Amino acid sequence: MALDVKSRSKRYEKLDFLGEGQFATVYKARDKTTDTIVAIKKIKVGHRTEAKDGINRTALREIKLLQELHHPNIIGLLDAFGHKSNISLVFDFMETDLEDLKPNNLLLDGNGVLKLADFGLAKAFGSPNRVYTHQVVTRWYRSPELLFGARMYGVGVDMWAVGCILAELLLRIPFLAGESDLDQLTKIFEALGTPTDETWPGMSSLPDYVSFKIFPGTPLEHIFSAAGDDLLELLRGLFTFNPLLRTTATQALKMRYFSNRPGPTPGPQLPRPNGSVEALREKETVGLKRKIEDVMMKKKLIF
Amino acid sequence: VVQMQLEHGQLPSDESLTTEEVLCVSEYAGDIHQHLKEREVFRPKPGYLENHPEVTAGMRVVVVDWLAEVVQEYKLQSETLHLAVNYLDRFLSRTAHVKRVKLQLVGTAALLIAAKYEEIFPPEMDEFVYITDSTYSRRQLAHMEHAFLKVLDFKMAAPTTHQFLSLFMSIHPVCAITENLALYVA
Repeated sequence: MALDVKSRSKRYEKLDFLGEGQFATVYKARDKTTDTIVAIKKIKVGHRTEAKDGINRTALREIKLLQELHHPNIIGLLDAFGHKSNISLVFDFMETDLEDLKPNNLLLDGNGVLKLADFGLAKAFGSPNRVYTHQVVTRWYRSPELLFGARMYGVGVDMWAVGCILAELLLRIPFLAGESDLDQLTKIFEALGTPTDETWPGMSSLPDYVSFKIFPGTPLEHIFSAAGDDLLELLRGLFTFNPLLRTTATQALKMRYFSNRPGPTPGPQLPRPNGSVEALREKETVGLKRKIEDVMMKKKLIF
Repeated sequence: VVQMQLEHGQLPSDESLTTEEVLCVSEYAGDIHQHLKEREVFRPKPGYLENHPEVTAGMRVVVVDWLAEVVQEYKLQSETLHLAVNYLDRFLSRTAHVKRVKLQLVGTAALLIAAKYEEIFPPEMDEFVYITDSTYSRRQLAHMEHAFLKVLDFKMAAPTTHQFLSLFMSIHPVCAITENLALYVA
């Protein structure tokens, strides 16, 4: 076993330090076996309180989930190994930094292919009668049912997050940047109008429900003045309050926005971050740092 | 922790939304099934006990029964138990000469890892030491957790009977009695 660890950590040649947070350090490294560039996320044992419960649970979950997921649009977990009390995750190296769905967890590789990253809080779904924690998803991307404390929720929470990301791409700033859970709901209702028991049946029986001032909401075409009708139609579907009526991924893909002209730019033709290698590296480091800090924040929320 | 679990477990919460509707799983049932079948490679070797002269089939039964008791006592998910048994059997398939006195430690580590993955509020490490009546120290357990993951090569994503069963029952709902019988047999 000792031999195995030695050979495993020897397999990777550390090239560069990319970023450090409370829970992990990220390095750029070369995989000597395959001669490829990888990113190694080394999970720290952290404080005594953290170490008390053994191996970091979020890392374990991330490893387990990513082993199950093989998809061109999901970041590839190439390897995982333990060394003393640390564990390290080896990922595809991503050129640019752009479960939860938010822009920081969407990475682009050298060919402009989008990859989802950070599955520390992801859950396998499909088991009925499961009660989940509602403290998931970074607040700005959290759906109203999660904010009202729903313990049984579905893919709708991801579609809400997709709506927020799409809105952010249009606005170039986060669409609904709440400072607390209550403020988040206020921001949502100010923008989209306060839902009623008619537009969202069952809302008032959610565990953390509180009644809000009735905001009329701003028409989406005023908020997203550059968006065409097809895009507004998509946004409207994604920002549906009733989770059961919210547009699903399948429905969304069938909407006009995805077939109307102009078509998407092919990945390799997407604009690349320009400037010197140093500037690029700095940008990457900043991005990764930001990402790690977010992980830290999520960690606090779950317990 | 247990108290919190109880509180959360009892929440009937969103009454208007049935689980099936919310999880909207039917659309993906075929894909999930195919995926589970593909992942079925993580199985224990038949006859692995031959490599463990000190361990008998009866002892394994005792460990598994005990794990089931712990899962019940701490109100953990059935899936946690199924995963833990899968980990236990696979650990023993890839090792040899595990001592009788260490068998419970192996079982405890299997449950610890499974709970970390599957539970919203997994019991703390000290609880796991406690359930062995402090037969092993926290350090021993932490060490075993590491050894365990290395032996399994971090491959923890194993499908279980419970996952298959839940999937089948979500596609074809059955009455409570049938469901309970199926869960019991599983």
